[in-house]
Amino acid sequence: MSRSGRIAILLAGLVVGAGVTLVLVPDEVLPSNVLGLLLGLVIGWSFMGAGVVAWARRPGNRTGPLMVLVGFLWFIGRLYWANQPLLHEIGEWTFSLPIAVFAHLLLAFPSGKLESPGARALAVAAYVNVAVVDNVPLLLSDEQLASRLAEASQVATALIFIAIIVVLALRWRAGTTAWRRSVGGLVWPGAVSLATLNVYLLNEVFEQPLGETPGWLFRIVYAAFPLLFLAGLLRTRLARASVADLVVELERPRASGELRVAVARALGDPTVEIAYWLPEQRRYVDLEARPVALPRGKEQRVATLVDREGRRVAAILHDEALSDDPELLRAVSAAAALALENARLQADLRARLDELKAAQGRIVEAADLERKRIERNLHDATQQRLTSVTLALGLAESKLSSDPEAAHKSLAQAKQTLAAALTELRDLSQDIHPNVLSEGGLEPALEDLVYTAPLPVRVTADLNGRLPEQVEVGAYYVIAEALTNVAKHACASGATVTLRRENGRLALLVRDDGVGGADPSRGSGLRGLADRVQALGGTLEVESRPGRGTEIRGWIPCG
Amino acid sequence: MRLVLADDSILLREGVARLLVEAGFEVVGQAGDAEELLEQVKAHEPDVAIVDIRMPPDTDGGLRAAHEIRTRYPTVGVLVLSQYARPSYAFELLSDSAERVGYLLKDRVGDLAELADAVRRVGQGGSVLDPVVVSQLVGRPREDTDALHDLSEREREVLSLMAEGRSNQAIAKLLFITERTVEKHVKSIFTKLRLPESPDDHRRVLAVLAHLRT
Repeated sequence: MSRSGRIAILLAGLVVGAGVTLVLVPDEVLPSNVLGLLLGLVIGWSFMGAGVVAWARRPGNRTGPLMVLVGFLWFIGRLYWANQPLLHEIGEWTFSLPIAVFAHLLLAFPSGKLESPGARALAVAAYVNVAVVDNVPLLLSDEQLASRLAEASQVATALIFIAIIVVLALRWRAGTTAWRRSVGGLVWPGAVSLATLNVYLLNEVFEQPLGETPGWLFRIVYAAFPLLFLAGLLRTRLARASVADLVVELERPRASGELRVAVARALGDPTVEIAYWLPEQRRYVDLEARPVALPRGKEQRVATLVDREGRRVAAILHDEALSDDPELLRAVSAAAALALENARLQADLRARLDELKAAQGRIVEAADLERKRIERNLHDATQQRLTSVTLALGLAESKLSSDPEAAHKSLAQAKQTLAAALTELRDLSQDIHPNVLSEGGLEPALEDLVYTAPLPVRVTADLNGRLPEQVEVGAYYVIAEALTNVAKHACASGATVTLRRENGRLALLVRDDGVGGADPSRGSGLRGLADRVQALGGTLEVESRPGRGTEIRGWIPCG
Repeated sequence: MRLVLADDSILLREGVARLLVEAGFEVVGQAGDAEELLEQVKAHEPDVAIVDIRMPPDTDGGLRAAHEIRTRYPTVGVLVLSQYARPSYAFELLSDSAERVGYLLKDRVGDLAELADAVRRVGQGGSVLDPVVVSQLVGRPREDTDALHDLSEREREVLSLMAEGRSNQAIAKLLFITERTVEKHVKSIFTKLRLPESPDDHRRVLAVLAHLRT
């Protein structure tokens, strides 16, 4: 609602309130009861005033309009005391209506909506009771029946109110700490108002055994309700002070867990959790880098996302009751953003360390496997061949004079076996470390890789000289392994390799036109490549959509 | 034919020297590193320097010394021995001229006849490229559009032998066909690969290798 609309409502409230009072004063209905007259004015205006304030602060919430309505109907109902017959009639019909709206208000508190079937039923009962049962006696000519009905209606009202009080008490019991602190506190004045109203009504039904006191008590409590409500609204305003405390607290150095405590205190929700955003891994973690899932749906928990300079920093996970105070959430988020960013870096570092540790483990494991493979190759192939060469040479030696032809044959066989052993050894040492790299660097090494690759490969390299050895080795292995993968799995007709230096990093790209659908999380090949690159402080990305080929992109810092 | 031998393994160097002397060559000097090699070449100006690619001071000291010999002593042939078949080195060696130069796998020292033939061809001004390297170049997978797919089996054989640095006469002898038939194949290959025909053996090798490299 616009500002002018609010002012209009306030003015209308002032006019109606003053008008009704002016109507009542000259009628001298209660000339002696100036206090009652003033209290009536206070009740109507305070409901309207507090309603307008609430309406302005929470435009989407029906609590404000309902309060305005209570105040407005209250004034109309006051006309009951007017001497003028029509005004009296209007007042009589409207007299109890504000109480029904008040019951509705309490049942719909704090969201402004009747959320449970029980609450809806009670609100409907309150309206029906007031609008029909309460007013029917006015239409009856039989006075005795009318007064019986009126009494029955008042008993029904009392029962409905008791039910509402029970509902409110149950809500309080079920409420979370954050809910109790933020809005739950207003449940009590409402319950007390209803209770005093009940006492008043019953007192009337039993012809005032308690005298005038319940009436006064009710009116005072009733008048206090909007004021308490306003105080509650102001208290969330006061919560801004807790934001100020937070800002001061964040100034001093903190132990790692204290930030959460400080934010929880500022929000008044001890269950607050903080999840830090890791943009590279696209997931949230806590300070220990354990994954955190954001609440979705009906968990009574809500995540408020904290951004800083346009980038996601963290999510504050809190009770959904706090969503009722978006300003507080915004203020706390803004105040804590910098500290959260620092903590996020800490969590990020922790996650990287964990990842690095895991990668290290896998690298060691891969190296062990590799050593085993080399040992097996040496033992199974090369060693056997060399042994057979020794045998052949021994044979040749013994036959040299007796059977030169056999000796000759044996020697030829030894030579052949030795050549095979040499080839094996060469392949093996090439496996252990590609000497191609140490000699000419990455570019010639890749050129030679192209000649031995099992599929057509195009290499575009723009490196401008040599790179640090470990970068060359890392890049070479990644490309060689990637091409082996392409040949094995991709059913590709060709691949391209692109290498260039950019901003102190070596950027490499291996792309094929094959079937795609490679999954880095499965199979150790891609995982091993990522580990290798990560160990050099770089990153590796794999994009492999089915039917669209595979693209491996890597960046390795190279000074 | 006078030779200088360079290899940082004295065992291998002595062995090869003994074999080559056996085959009728004259080994006039031996060297264990690049610097020594250049001194020996300067002192003896041999017909051929046989150079191990991997020699001190750096891992590719032999390769760089080979380049230096080729620029400073154009009459000295250079035969480079390499543990690994690396086409990129072969291309580097043959980058400006295919005269008096060779690139051979080290394994070949076990076959005296082959080694002696290679040394002789380089010493006589020709070029030698190891068959393993050539088969890598010819045999590697190529895109479907490549003209190499249009060659017949026989033409591929002839192409490979040309790339190894063989003359028409040698190719004829190796394939048991007449020189005229070889000439016919060569003509056909050059047409199919759209290469300018060249009467000069050296330029012919370069043209073929340039095509195989792409």
